[in-house]
Amino acid sequence: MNATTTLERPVVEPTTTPTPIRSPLRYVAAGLAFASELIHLWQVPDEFITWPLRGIFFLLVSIGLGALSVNLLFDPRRWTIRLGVALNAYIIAVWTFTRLVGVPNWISFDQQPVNAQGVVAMAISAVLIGTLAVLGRRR
Amino acid sequence: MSISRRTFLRAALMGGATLALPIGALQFPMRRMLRAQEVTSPPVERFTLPLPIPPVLEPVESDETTDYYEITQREATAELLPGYRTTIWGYNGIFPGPTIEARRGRQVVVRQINALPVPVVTHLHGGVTPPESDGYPTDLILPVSGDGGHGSHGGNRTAGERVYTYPNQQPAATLWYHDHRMDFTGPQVYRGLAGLYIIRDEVEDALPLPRGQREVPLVITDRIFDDDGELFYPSIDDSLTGQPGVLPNFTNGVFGDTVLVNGAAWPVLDVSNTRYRFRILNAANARPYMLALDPPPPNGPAFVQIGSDAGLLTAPVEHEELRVTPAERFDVIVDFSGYPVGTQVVLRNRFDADGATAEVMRFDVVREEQDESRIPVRLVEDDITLHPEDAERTRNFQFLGSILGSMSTVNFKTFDPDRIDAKPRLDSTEIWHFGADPEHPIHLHLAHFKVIERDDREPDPWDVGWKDTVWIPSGGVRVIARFSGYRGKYVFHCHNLEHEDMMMMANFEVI
Repeated sequence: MNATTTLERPVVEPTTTPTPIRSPLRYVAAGLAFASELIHLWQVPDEFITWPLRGIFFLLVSIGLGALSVNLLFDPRRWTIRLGVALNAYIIAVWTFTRLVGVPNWISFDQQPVNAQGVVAMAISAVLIGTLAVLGRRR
Repeated sequence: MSISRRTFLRAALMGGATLALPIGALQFPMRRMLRAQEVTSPPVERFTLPLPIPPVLEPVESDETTDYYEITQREATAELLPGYRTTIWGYNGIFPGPTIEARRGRQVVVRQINALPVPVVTHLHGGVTPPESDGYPTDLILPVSGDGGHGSHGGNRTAGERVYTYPNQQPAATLWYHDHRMDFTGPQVYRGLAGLYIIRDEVEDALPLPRGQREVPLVITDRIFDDDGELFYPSIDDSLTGQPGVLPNFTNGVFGDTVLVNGAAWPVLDVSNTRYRFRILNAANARPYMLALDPPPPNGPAFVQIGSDAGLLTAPVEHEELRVTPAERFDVIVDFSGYPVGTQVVLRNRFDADGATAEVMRFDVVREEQDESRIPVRLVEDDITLHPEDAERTRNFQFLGSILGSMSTVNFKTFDPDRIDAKPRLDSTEIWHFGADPEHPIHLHLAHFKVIERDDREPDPWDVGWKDTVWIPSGGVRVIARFSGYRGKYVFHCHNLEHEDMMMMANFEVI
């Protein structure tokens, strides 16, 4: 029996693991996220003392920014970028709403003052969104 | 299982950024709140300080129609606790402030000078007063020394001093004056800015009630003291120039563990075996009292009430116990004739029967005396009688506390000096229904009222007479109010001063 053996090349399936983003720009984004975390953490004691619910909100935002910052340092994937953009867009939206309309309290709203820390934090969030958008298009 | 250096570094940074730093940031407020919760006043021996009687203020000038007074609000020290000197803010540097005694129909003009480091406002509580002299919360007297750092509220500000005019076109009554600064009334009254204002008239003069040494004011408050005897108040900002309000664990009110009567801790008053007239004011920030005598008098009721917030009753009312809630006044007769000389009678607070504030003060029956006084069956005739069917309209107001430290509300709205929530006509009668999520003493400026119903039942025994403050332990109260005197903008609010500072206040404008 003349057997012939056909050697088939293995089929290479497309990988399901997204490619990490290695652009050095991610260090800039991580620094911005960390700076924003520190600003929010700086506010936590005052906000918590004034209204614990608001303090907890600042705490959760800070934790989110901290997690974003660390993830950006270590080969972030696209979901990190998307979550980072969503988180910072949310921060800007909440800040704008509470300055223009206010914090809901029963059926009324307590309008919040515009202060320097808030403006700086919002500027950082805006720049961070731009940086993350650029990162999202790069490898 | 081995962990790469990279994985370890990532985990360490993640832990730092999402756990260590946030927990560290929470340390400051949590420690501050816990520390405040744990402060208790130094223990002192009770019934050692004699009951002080606030001095009656002499006018600096008088003419045919008017008595002129001058008061300087300033810092001073006082012996509130035996053996301690406590820094207070006082009218003329004393707490309670000097008593102003006015006559019905005779105008009083008070020049208030602010020598404190913060703005102040003075409100005559229970006074039928023109709006410009009523002490609207934003009508600030800035300190003599400068602005004193107040927020962005508008209002009619004056620098250093303000002149208040009180026409006194109202019956004899026990009123009081106190600070009413927007956002900071609680801490400023707590530091001592409160005093009595008594209006007398010929009708009262003609009654054979106890008088002179046997007519005694009892200004009841409670406070917390630090170890060094200084007042402790859990302000967010102790300077009272920045962020208003109290720490979140005190938003339901600051309840002291030390009872002060006329500015002395658990004082004692030597009395004779005769009738005494006590003008009782609850000037506490938040604590209601249920007063009772221990032992009770063997030959009659503990208290015979002859007057309420806004003046004398038409007829006396007997009580075995007396519920006196923040800002309320009760004019009562206590008859010590049934007690043998040598008896010590403790004025107790049954609302805190086993607590630190279970005792208020003590009366020592030390001598026998002749007593010419008596309590008439009829006291005064009401100037006007209000009938619910005459009410032009009924309004509803819900007083709701804060959500975990947020602002308090009236009808779900926080206070806005520019929003008018009711516009009663001058000399009109209205029924106002107050609902509350328990425990709010509601105070109307300008207007006096009578309680007509509590949750579809009869008013409580302590609701008799004309009032300006009504206690709502829960549920609702309907009052019938007369809006007479002056047109203009006034406030009504919760007189739990921490709630008031947290915006549980609204405007009405008499048109």
